[in-house]
Amino acid sequence: MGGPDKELLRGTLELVVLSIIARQTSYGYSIINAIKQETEGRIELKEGSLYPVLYRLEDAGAIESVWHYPEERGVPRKYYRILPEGKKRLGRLRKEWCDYVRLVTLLIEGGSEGRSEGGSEDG
Amino acid sequence: MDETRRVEQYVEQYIRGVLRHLYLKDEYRRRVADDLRSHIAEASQKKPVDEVLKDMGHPRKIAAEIMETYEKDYEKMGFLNAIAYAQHVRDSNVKSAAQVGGWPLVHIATGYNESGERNVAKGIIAVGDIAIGVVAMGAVSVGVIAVGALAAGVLASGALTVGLLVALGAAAASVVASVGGAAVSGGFAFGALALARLYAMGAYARALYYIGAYGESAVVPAWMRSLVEGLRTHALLFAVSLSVLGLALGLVPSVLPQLLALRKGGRGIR
Repeated sequence: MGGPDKELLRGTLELVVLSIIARQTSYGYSIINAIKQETEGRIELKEGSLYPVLYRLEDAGAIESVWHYPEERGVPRKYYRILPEGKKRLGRLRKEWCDYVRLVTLLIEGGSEGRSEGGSEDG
Repeated sequence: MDETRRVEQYVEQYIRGVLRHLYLKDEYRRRVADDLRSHIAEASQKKPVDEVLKDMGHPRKIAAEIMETYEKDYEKMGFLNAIAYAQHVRDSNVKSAAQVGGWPLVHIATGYNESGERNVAKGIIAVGDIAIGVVAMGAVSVGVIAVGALAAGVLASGALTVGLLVALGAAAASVVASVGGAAVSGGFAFGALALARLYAMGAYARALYYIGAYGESAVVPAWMRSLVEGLRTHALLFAVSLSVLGLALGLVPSVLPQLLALRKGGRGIR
């Protein structure tokens, strides 16, 4: 079974990424992995999609980044941490998403009824 | 060359590929380069770097996704990058946040918008297919200083130009002074074909006072005579100066962003 439509994912990326960073200070690669693992591999985020979202959030003051350089050999990582502005943003995005899901569900259910009514008329 | 060095070069080449299509100021390009470098290093601890880069996809695609975030953000692009990006994507519309009298300081617009309407650049400095501004550069440009294939302004330069004061171009018409292949003016015209009300100089010239290859008016002002003498004496210098002016006004605005793109592609950011 495949993942959700790309456009649908694109519209919710900010909410998804912000939620992960809110749970735990994260770096780019770990965010991609978290999304993959938590969705059992059904959502695979590409780097070209993730980093613009991180930049947007950082530019908006929702998150901040700090480079961490290991003392010995290792990979330098840029950790992202949520800021108070980001928490507010996350709250707003969550509410918008829940409202949207509720409304779409209403529409889908209404649509199903409409179709069955239309079907019975034709029949 | 050892394996580590080969891998490093391979990664840097990939990052340069992304940066080549990233029309942003250096500080933002550096941010992308650093993040990609760290990301690739992290991912290649789990699998071979070739596979990591293959999974990431074509550098152009990564750059395109990043540019979607910034394509309307003039402050992060800067003037030359914004022009280069407009040439690259064809449908572009970016304005500076700074405004003067309600007009953006810089507006760069090419191609069409989402509704299929043509984007028109209107700004103090306007660059685009159609540009209207104090300084306007475009295929069709209207401004105080207008440069373009079709240009109209107080000072106009291009192929077909109409100038209130000065017009330079293959075909140039103005109230005060025109210089071009075919120059028509109320005051002074200079060109292969020069027609003016007062003064004309050229291969074929007609005006109240004129000097042409096929004759001159009964009375010629001394300054015109010395100008012709000067041009004859320094013909080469004059030709070179005109060529440089033509290059500066016509080619540079279109070629410079391309050169910038090449320069960006040729170097990495550390």
